[in-house]
Amino acid sequence: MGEYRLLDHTADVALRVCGENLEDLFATAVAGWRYVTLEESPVDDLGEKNFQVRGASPEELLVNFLSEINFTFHVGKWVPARVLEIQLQQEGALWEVTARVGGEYFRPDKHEIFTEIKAVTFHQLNIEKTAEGYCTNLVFDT
Amino acid sequence: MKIHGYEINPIHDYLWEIPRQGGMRVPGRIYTSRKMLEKFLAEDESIRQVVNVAHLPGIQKYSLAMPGIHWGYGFPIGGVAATDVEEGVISPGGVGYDINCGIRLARTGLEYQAIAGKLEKLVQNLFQNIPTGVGSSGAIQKQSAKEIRKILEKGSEWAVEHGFGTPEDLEFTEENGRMSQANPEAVSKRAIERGLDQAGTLGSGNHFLEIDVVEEIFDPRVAEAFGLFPGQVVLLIHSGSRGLGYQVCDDYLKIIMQASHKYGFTLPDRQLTCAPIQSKEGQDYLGAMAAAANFAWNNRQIIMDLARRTFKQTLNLSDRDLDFRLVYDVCHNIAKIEEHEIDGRKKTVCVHRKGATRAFPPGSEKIPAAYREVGQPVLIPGDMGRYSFVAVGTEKAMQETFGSTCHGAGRVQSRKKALKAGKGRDLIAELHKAGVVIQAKGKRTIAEEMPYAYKDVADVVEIMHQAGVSRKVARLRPVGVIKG
Repeated sequence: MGEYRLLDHTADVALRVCGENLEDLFATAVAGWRYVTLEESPVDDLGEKNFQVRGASPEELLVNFLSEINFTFHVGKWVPARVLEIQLQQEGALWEVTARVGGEYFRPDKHEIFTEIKAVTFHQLNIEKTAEGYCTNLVFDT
Repeated sequence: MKIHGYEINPIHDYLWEIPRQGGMRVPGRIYTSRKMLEKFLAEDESIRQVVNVAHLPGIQKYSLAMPGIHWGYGFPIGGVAATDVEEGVISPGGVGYDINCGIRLARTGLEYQAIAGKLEKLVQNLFQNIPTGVGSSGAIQKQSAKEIRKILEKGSEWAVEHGFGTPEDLEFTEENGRMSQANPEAVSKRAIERGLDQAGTLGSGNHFLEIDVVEEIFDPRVAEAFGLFPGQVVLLIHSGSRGLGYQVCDDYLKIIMQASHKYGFTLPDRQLTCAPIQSKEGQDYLGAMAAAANFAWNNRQIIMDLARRTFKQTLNLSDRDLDFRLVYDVCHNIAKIEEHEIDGRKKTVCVHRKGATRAFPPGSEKIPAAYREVGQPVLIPGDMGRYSFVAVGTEKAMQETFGSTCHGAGRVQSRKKALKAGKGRDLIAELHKAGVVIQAKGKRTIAEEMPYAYKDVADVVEIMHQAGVSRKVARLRPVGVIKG
């Protein structure tokens, strides 16, 4: 899997996320989302959820995908442990991600929430191919 | 002076202008001081955001920023922009994710001595009775989607109808706690799902409920009209529309982004995405935003009443002895259709206030009759260790800022830096020593929200006072805090 690191951002939380390819970038971004939300709380792979999300560009797709993860957490009380399978497809102007994600239901006795991510933003979002692979900054409104 | 390549010239000591250039339709104007400009504005991108907002179709007079301005999404936090209601646009980024995030101040008839011995117990009970923290729920019974829609339509009235507070509370709430253009049908099922169990919850981050003491009165006449006196115990609540509002913003950023090609606007930042106010997307957003705003007012109304009950029980007082009353509730993330004088003519505009507080003057019909002689209360929270301020709106605010002023201090340290600064320290004990009793869900929140992580709100309030836009009335000192 790729890597993410926290960037210093005065008002909110920002990450630098890199992956070998776009799929890896997306899977790494999920790990980054989980770190910001739960930090080191252990999350086990006790069940699975499938995600299918669309967007007009890889950036929009990433925002929509992570927004779905965030929504599933806040409403469905379900936390992702890891991305088991992920595929990105482009059809004309439309991008689609299909992902099988392992995780478990939130348990207050097991998980501690550190930061509430209100939303995944487009701020500074720009997926580019670099020497480290596909990278972008990712800013969460918290 | 030049910052980030932009020329910025003083109009006077507290107001600076960025002249029109490139695609700017109006100049930018920032209420700030030289000290703050050099210290803070050079560090982030907020000046560029003031310039970007000046590109919005239909923007009137200036792209404005209040002191305490900092980097937001699209709009800077502390940004004010009025757009022509016929030819202009509405931008969800000009309101922000936490729609109708706002402040409510309630007064009691008590002096500090009356609660001093029971302060710890009072804070503990408030913490127990008012759900705080991420995804906090269960202040009141979980509501059905149908009932949530009623809240979206009725705002604070719903709370009062269900026994949380009195009809007088509505009179002392901006818009009487209910924006009539709310359209619950424009709020997505997902947004409603995020709100199902969040009515009456405080939330996390910088949201709080505080017991304060009136420490200093700057304007006795206005303070008296607001029912404030030195040494008095008051209650300050900072909260918003919770997950429901975040989802409304998220939904409409997407809807409007998708529709933007239809309107052919070229804007310098994707997050400034906007739609004509008169378009279907624009009207739907306004209806959904107003519904989320109503949800927030209902929240603060419930939280306040839960706090009132907690005061009564803990201190064992009658209603008469507690003498608890709402002073005012004002929002600082909102877009409002208002009438303002522009170039000598009355014009209907959509005033975006993102991290800015309405500050209407004496005589305004939009403020409670009891305050009509003095002006609208403006509530400006500081950090939890120092102080907050009560100010009052002026005629100058109408002339210069579309009746708006500052809303708070803003962070000076990132959460990461604040955490690092707090490492190895007993912050609860430090606050205690400074006279503040605190209860929070996580130690981490306390570290992130420590006074050193914030700018000094007194500087921000002083700039608007000196500029004559909002005048200082009273300073409040926190003695008890609950946080997420």
